Amino acid sequence: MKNYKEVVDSVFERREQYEALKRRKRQIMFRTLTPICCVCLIAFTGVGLLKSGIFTHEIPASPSESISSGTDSKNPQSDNTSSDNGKNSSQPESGNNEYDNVSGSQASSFDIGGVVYYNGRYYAQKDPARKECVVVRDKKIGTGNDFDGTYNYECLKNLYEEHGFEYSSEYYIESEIYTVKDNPDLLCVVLSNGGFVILEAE
Amino acid sequence: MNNGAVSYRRFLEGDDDGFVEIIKDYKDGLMLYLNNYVQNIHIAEDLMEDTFVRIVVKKPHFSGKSSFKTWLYAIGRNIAVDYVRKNAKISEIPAEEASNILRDETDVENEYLRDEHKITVHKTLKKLNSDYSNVLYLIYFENFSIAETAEIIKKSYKQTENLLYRAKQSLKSQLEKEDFVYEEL
Repeated sequence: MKNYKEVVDSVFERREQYEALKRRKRQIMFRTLTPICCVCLIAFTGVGLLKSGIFTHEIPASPSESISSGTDSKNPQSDNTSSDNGKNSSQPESGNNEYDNVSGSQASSFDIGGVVYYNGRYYAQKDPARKECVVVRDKKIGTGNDFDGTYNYECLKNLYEEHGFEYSSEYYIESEIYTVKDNPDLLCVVLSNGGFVILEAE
Repeated sequence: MNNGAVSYRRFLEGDDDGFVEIIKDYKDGLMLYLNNYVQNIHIAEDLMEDTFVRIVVKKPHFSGKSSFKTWLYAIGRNIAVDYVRKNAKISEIPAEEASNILRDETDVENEYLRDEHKITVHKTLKKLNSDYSNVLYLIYFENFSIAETAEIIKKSYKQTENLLYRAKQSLKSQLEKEDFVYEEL
């Protein structure tokens, strides 16, 4: 049988062993958990950043967005039909003499239409209230920059600046202007973003 | 024997000598008490050591609602009950080891109980049911009150009182069989 000193020694020795074991367990746990926590942290950060949209390419806001959000001004260059609208219509695909489907009801959402000065006449965006109509493009007469009007970069920039806004080239949408078959009073503007606008002589 | 609570407080404050005093004061009584559960003084010694190790390692809170000894014996009892549960199978002990156990047990009895009468009664306790021997040991050898005994053996006061009554009757009849009269009963 152990005397009390032996019991004391044994008890304290077992305490040391227990504490050493506990320390070792803690070290192992720490060594295991640290990389796991790092991986989790990186994963969560990655997911967070991905969701925040930091990796997605931001398309610069179009002038219409920047202006309409701040003032009542509208983008005169904006088309009154979306690119999808044209493509999804039952008309033949875009081509030189294709049919362009213009929805008047959609155009009504724009207050200021596009304007082009051509052949001594002003061609302005069609009355948005007009019903849907079908036009057939004829000849290309030039790009937006070849004529005075809202499809000309310099003119558009001046217009913006007159209203107190800055205009950058990245907002500018290239365009091509066509005559309309059998109707000299109309012009068709095809925008590089896929949209198109019908202009009518004043 | 000083107050174990004071020694334990000293130990909790970082003085290991406090715990040395506790071991010195309580080890034999606790061992004999735990022997009632396991009927093997060597195992009882291990369990006694386990009890002290558990206290040293876990440093459980002693609220002071009972005496320190009651609290210590209750911890020891839990450990012994766990041991008995885990080692329910009856194991055979070689005759040589059995005689060692008996000799060591007698040594502890002689050292701890000292009184010849008490030693005889303690030997007789082994022939009783373990519940009877536990309650009798705590009350007549460790001088616990019925309430303290109830707290250690985790029974109600009334149950302990009844158990004690039956244990006394059983011990009396056992002692009578051995032509021994113990006045304290």
